[in-house]
Amino acid sequence: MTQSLIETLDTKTSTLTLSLDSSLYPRDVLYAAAYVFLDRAYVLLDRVETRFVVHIRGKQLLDEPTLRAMTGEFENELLAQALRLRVIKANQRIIESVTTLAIAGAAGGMHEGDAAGGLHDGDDEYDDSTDFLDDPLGISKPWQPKKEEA
Amino acid sequence: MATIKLRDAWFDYADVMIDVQFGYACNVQCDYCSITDEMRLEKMSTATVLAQLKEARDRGAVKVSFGGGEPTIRRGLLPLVRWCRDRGYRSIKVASNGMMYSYRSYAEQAVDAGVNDFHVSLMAHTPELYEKIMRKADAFELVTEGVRNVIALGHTPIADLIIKSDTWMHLADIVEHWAGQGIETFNLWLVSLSDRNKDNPASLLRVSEMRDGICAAFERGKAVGVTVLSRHIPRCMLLGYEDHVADLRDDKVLVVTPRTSFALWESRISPNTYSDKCTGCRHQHGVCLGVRLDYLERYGDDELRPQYPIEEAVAVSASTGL
Repeated sequence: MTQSLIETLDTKTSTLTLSLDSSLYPRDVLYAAAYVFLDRAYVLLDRVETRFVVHIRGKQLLDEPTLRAMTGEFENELLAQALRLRVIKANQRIIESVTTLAIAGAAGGMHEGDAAGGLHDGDDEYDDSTDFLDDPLGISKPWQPKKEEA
Repeated sequence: MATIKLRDAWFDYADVMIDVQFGYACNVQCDYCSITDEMRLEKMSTATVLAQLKEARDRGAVKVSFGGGEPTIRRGLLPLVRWCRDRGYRSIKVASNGMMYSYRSYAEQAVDAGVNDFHVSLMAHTPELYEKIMRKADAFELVTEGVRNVIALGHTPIADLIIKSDTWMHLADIVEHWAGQGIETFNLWLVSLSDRNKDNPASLLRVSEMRDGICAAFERGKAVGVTVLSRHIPRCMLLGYEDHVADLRDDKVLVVTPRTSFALWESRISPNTYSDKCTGCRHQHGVCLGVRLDYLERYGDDELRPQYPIEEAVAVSASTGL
């Protein structure tokens, strides 16, 4: 039998208190799920021993079915955000590389032969290079702090 | 329409400017710069910038700004600008020291990529003062050429001027000089004693000491037909010139840095602190954001002239005999 998330529900104040097993949900997932509700409710996150406690107060008067539906939405959002986080972590580098290349390809090159349109993913050497234009006066050369003498 | 919370208020993304400080590397070393050597090494990867801008655009953002550091020395700048333009960002600002625009070809590339809001930090009105502040020979000539190029390409830059110990007395002349070059809007910023510049307290004088120079800039601006606005000094320090005091919240700027994101007026180099003296002022929590914390720490609140409601002011006056 699944334990209900709902700790309290009060239609007079349109408030809802949910309790979550903190070992099941990373804190980032909780934040992300809560963020989705900010336009409809005031949300306070708390922690009691091993459980997260989520206080939700509707910005407008909410009846019981609506508050219960909100609970269901919150549960689903937790799962969606947990999965999203897992996918992002597993594929971070691939997502960044593919997205950047796709975007860069559509953006158009800065100069001939630059297939990625000048957009490169996290390539420090590329970003720091200043050979992307004619700079006979050396204006683009970054200022470097003087190294301390040993 | 998606909304975003900046400090204590919600805004539509369409009204918010996403201000990307994507790195602090710079091609000059201004003598008042607050960027530390460690911060100069910080930067956001192009992928990270793209991800942030894509998410903001998906939520409806149409205004973006690139700053730093000096953004024009970053190779990825113009491709990013082009990407923003092609994805629907309508207002694309670049805040620069203006030197790279001295290359006509670079200025043309910037305009072609989609930059349509040029902000240039202008230090002074003479080559000597420019070089003293920026520590770069020919900086004045380069910036002058840069401003000319941008204007010739159909864009009038907005000037950012720093009020500090060696510029305040020249502000009116600086405004007049650059107005003569075609600049129409000047923002005055008070030098900050944060981070690297905290060890340079001499750069920041009391506003009351510099007030004559600041107000002269306002007057000179009026005389030559340009707009001069102060963006860091509370209005009660500039009584009589309140019309020249801008509210930092007007631009609804969300600053995105390599470390974090925050509303511009939450920044530690923005005025956002009330002193006890402000309690009861009719502008507190209204048009006035308060004073910069570093200023309060250095000089206290002696110069503040809170605007109490008239009846309270009369009562205070009667009780104190003043």
